[in-house]
Amino acid sequence: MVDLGIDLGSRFVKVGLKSGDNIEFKLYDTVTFYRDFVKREGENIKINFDFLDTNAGRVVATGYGRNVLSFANAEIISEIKAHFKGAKVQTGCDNFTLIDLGGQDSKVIKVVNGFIEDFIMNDKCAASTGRFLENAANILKMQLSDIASSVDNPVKLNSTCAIFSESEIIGKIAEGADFRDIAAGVCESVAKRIAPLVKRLKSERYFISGGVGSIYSIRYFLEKEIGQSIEPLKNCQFNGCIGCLNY
Amino acid sequence: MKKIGFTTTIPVEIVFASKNIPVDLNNVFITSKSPYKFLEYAEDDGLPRNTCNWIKGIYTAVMKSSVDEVIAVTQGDCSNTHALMELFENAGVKVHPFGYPFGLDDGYEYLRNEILNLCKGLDVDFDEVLEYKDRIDIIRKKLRHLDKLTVQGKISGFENHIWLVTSTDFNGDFIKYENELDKFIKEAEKRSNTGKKVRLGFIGVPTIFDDIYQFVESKGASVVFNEVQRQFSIPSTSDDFIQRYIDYTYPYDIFKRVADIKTQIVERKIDGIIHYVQSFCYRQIQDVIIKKSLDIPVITIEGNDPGNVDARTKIRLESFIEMLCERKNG
Repeated sequence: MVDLGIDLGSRFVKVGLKSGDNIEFKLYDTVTFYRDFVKREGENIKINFDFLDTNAGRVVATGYGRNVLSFANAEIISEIKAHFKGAKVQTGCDNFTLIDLGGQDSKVIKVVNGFIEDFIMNDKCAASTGRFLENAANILKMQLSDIASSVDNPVKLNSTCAIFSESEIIGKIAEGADFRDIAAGVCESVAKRIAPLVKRLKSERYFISGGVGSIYSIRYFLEKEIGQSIEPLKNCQFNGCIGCLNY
Repeated sequence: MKKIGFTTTIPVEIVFASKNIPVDLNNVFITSKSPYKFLEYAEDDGLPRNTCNWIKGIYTAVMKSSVDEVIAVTQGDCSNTHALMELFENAGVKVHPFGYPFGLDDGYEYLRNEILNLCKGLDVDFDEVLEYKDRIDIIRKKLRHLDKLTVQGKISGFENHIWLVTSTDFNGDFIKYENELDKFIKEAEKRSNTGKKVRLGFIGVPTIFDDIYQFVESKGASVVFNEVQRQFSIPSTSDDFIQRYIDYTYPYDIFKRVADIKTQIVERKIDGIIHYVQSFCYRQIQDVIIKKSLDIPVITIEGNDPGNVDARTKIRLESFIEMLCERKNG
């Protein structure tokens, strides 16, 4: 029997399987996960645990679906709670600011003396998230791993809209800008959008999580913006499910 | 008897004394069967998409002949009303401009003149206004009692919102309004205290969402303070009619509002504040000062279209309530 922590993100579903002290992580495409493993049974919506080799124990889930979906066979907690708990468990710290950059979400959570003091989430725009980076990578025909190492000569991008920035990137290509410089510009623009949120929740120590949190160039530009170092969490993308497993 | 519309709270006693019917144009828009149609109508007439939807709603309410004349508050509220006033005049609607003093040392004299001018415009004697003041004061006193019952947990935040927000025009008939209010208070007084563990306050313009109170209160919080709605009910107990509208915080600078909010946070034992801001409204900028001035958590919620709260706003509100619960439980 395993306990499950499930983070239902907009791009990926992250699953943590805990048996004893051992935790194993699995990553699923969100749409595929819902198609294959979420079933309606009469009035209820349930997660189908066919993807497990054993029986499910306690199941705690978080994610965007919290107010839209309620699973009959999972306890649901809010994203803020899950990510706060994950970071607290992973770092052992009681005073810090967590920057979580996901597929469409940006969250900044300030923790003081072991409690959430304040938090900010993006609400109107996803131009600082993984989806934005994926779009840019598609236009530039580059791998995300190549974008992740681009930090030199960032091309200035001005658009405040994820979609309009696509045409701006194409414009830069037409002007003959180097692709890696444009990639660096994309990362810098993400950092510039996040920085004001981070600056509002200042701390002595900063941690970063989420799929985008694992990207070096984002961290590089964000550190430049806030003038302090930012430590990536060990299991960056799985912080939410670690939080769920520890609730 | 004419219907006199107004764009935001004005000394409504003047309209009653003029033997006309006051109509808060905001309420015409938001309580209509399809507020969306009001927005579409205004946009079809050329009002910009990136303008506050309350303005568009007011525009349509007037253009669709909900009222005969309009009192346009051109100072102390949205500056877009200046342009609205011009549109109304252009369409042949009679407009009475009305302004609250801003940053004037002799604010009292300024407001006195504005009130007397409005009396003149509506052809009413100021002494008659004072007679209506005494009559309506009885209702205002009952509204202060209703607000107290909200703090005690006997009246929900939404009920409080509805009663206070409609006190801008008393639904056009203060006698009927008072009868219904009496009935409601009598029923509410018998209720047991439904207070939840987290106590919230709503500050800023009234929300355009129609289910936000229900959502927040379903998540274990009580709304015990509606800042602007309370101000709309004119809570000042000054005997001086003019002074009362000087004490009314909404149309003046942010600092007066902050002082009022701070007092209420202490008196009502509020744990957290929801600052509601309307898309494209200049009042959004004041969020900076509000966050700096209040020493309890503040979440800023932005709304644009009428209707239900969106899923993302729900996530933010729910997390905010959870955070406050945990802080409170230590």
